[in-house]
Amino acid sequence: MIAALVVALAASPPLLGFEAGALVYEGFAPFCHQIADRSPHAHGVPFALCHRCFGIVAGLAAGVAAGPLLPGVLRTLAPRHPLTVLTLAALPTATDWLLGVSGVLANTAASRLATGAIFGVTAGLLLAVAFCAPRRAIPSPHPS
Amino acid sequence: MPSKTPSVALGAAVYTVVGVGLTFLTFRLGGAAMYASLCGLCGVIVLGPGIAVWHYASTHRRTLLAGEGAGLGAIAGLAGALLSGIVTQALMAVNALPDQAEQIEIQRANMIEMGMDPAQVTEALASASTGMMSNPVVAIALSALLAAVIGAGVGALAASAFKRGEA
Repeated sequence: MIAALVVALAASPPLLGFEAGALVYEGFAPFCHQIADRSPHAHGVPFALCHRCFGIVAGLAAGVAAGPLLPGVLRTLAPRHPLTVLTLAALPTATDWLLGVSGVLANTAASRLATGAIFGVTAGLLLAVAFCAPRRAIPSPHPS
Repeated sequence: MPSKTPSVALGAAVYTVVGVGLTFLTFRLGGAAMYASLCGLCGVIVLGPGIAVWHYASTHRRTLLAGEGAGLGAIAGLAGALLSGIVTQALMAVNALPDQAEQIEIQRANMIEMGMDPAQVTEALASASTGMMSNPVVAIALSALLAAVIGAGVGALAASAFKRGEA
């Protein structure tokens, strides 16, 4: 719910007036470069997050929302090494960014959005796992 | 329960030092390196709350519940964003960092140097020019609120990533 609100806020500048839109841009400015030609647009007005950051946040919201509906996926994802899972999920977006910034291969809006979303969905599912996990481990009964 | 204050302070300090350091570097570097540095800004919101949870779990040999991690991450994110915003404004006031109008001009010069035409540059800087018009106090408060929300998510993830001893 809160993740969905952040997504809505990031996408709100095209719907807001000048002053409210300016405030939303400034609010997100410390977390994202907000370069307009690398950000999603609506009615010619850029969102407050770039493609990659928007993909991450939207993916996170989708992952958190879908998590409880997919208990099988949660069991598979309930990992002993969540940091490793997160690192693997970050590889596509890191590679996409690295290829772009080094000039080897120009990334596109779709590649930035999709690779960001892969990381976001994984983080969202892990978050759902963390909150759905039992509060304390139940000791298994010892055979007498 | 042991005090969380040192862990929050460490997370907020890391957030501030790395965030302000990256902002400083951004306007000392040119071309592609400048954008690499700008892209690092989103890592700061992961680093501060993540370090706060890692420090608390490691120091007290405890595995935090997701809710505890979320709370700790939210407070570290909030404190880091407030401190970072205040330090950035102070550095701008003493001209150690370029003010917002100067930052936009530096970005404009870099974009032209990288081969973008003036129409593309104007479009690319549209949101930055719009954002410049708002009140810095309100902007810092909104950033801190967002940092608390994102920090809560990071904290909950960090709690499941850094398991140390009993929950």
